[in-house]
Formats: sequence, structure tokens, C-alpha cells
Amino acid sequence: MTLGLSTFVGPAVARSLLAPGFLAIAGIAAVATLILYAEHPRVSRQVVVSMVPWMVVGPALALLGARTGYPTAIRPAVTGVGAYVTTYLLACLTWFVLLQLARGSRPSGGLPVYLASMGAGVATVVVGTLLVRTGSLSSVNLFWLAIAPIAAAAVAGIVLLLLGLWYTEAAAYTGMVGGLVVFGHALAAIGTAVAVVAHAGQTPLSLAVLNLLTAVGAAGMVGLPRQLLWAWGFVWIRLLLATLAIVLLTAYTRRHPNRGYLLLGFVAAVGVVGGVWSLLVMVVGP
Amino acid sequence: MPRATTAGGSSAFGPKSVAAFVLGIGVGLVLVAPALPSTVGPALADVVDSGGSVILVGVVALTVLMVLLAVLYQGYLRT
Repeated sequence: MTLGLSTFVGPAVARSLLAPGFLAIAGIAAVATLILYAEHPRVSRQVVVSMVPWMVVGPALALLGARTGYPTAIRPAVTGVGAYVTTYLLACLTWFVLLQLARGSRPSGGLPVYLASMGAGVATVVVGTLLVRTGSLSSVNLFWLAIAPIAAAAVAGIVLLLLGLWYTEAAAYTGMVGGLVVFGHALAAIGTAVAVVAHAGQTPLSLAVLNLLTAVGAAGMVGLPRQLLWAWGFVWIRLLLATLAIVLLTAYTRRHPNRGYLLLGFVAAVGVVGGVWSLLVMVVGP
Repeated sequence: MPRATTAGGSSAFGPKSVAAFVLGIGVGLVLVAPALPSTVGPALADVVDSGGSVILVGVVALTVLMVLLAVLYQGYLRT
């Protein structure tokens, strides 16, 4: 038996990873990374937070690419992993251009604002097009898209409060980046849990209340349905892992702020991208 | 009328950040252009036909929420 790429990632993903279009965009992204690295840009907490809109673009573009008729030649760049690489490339190029524009002027506090503003513009168009093209622009869907981040922010607030009580230094030093890490994973956990419960055919709230009443009233906590236990377990495990990442990376970030904030940004991106993906899949359909 | 300002006193929505947003919309349009051909019009018409006013309220509410978030967000990014 020979070991190939398909052994590890499956034949479909392997085919998309080896497509010429994907290889081209991945190559350009690698070059862009090197050029950006050569600039030694300062990675501050604000820069990491300004990447949030770009984290929304990736999953939205991946879903849009999979559901609409992009030409075959550019399809690998806007579907699956290719969509994320394309988004990463756009963010890198924007960052690079802004660095060049800021050169020679006073230390600019505006860079994160412009990086975020441009990402927000791209995200607005891509998410809007996805909702319109898939016919998912209903008030119920808009409600879920609005309420899930608010719920995630509330959960993240509680977790950050607890983190601040036990690991004050970690919470204080990582600041908004730490908050983004917890928020991202709260969003991912809530999005996934809601999507799983919702696909069972009930609204999440009604199912949760029904299950809770049945379990407490009839069989106690042990009688909680597996699905609900899984959903809650999933939410808390993700939050625990996010908190652990903040605590473990604080010392490293203090020694190497650039690399530390980049790592924390990556951890946050995993959460935000996963959360946005789950929410959008729930809204536009699996 | 007082303008939304940050802790540093600068405007939260300066012309440059608005320009960056508009530029982002342009880049986004380029990105989604191949997925658009002659489908957005009919799709929007369908949306309006099937309870468009309710959706409009949702869109307006979501937009207000996003603007509020944007003011807070930009305020933080400028600190």
C-alpha cells in the first residue's frame, strides 16, 4: 500500500489540494507571506482584532464557491481550503499595502482601523451575496445570525470574568485578543451545538427546555438525552481549551509579543472561522 | 451634533476608514462577480414578494446593530 495525500485527507480534499488553481493561489499566498515577513510588521493586539472581518470572509466565500457557478478555472481558489487561502492572501496584501502607505509618516494608529474597515467591506458583500444567492434572506435566519454572536459574547464575558479572577495577569495582558479567543470558541461551540440540535427538527430553545424538563422531572440529570449532553459538553470543552490556550500562551506572548499575538490570533481564528461556518451552514443549509 | 469620537479624540469614522470600507466592497464585488450573473435581481424580487417588509425590519435592525458594534470596534482599534 502506498501512502499518498489522499490517505491523510481523503480523496476529494486531496484532489482539490492538488488542483492547479489551488496550487497557484497557495504559491502566491506563500510568496505574500514571505514579503510581509520581510517587512517585520508589528503585530499588536489591535492588529489581531482587526482581522475579525477577514475571518468571516473565509467560510462565507467557501460556502458561496460551493453553491454557485464559479468558472472551473478559479473554482479551486474559492471552494474548500482554497477559499481560506484566497482570503488570507487578500488580508496579507491589504496589510502590506497599508504598511507601505504608513511608511514615512508618524507611527500610525490607523492601520488596524483601515485593515478592519476593508475586511468589513469584503465580508458585507460576500455574506450578503451568499444569503441572496441561496435564498436564505429570511427574518428567522437574520435573527440567528444576530443572536448567536450576542449569546457568544455573553458566554465569553462570563468566562473572561472567571479567567480574570483566577489568572488576572493572563486576562490583563492578552486583553481584547484573549477576549477574542474565548469569544471565537464560544461562537463556534454555540453555533455547532445549535446547528446539531436544530437539525433534529425542533428549535434549539424548545428542545433544550423540553429535554431539561423531561430529564429533571422524570429521570434526573443522568436521564439527559445524549444530544443535549453532547451540546453542553462541547460548549464547555471548547471554552476550557480556549482559556487554557490563553493561560499557556501568556508567558510566551510577554517574551515574544509579535509571535505570541500571532499564535493567539491563530487560536482565535480557528474559533471564529468555525463559528461563522456553523452559523452560515445552519442558515443556508448543509 | 457631536461626532462619535474615540478616547484619543479622533473621529471613529474618518474619511480614510470609510474609503477603506468602500474599497473593501469593491474587492468583495470582484470576488463574488463570477457568482452573480443575472441572478441577484430575480432573487431580490423573490425576497420582496415573500414578506419583504418583515425582512426589511430585520435587515434594518441588523444594520443598526452592526453600526453600533462598528463604533465600539473602531474606538478600540484606535486606542
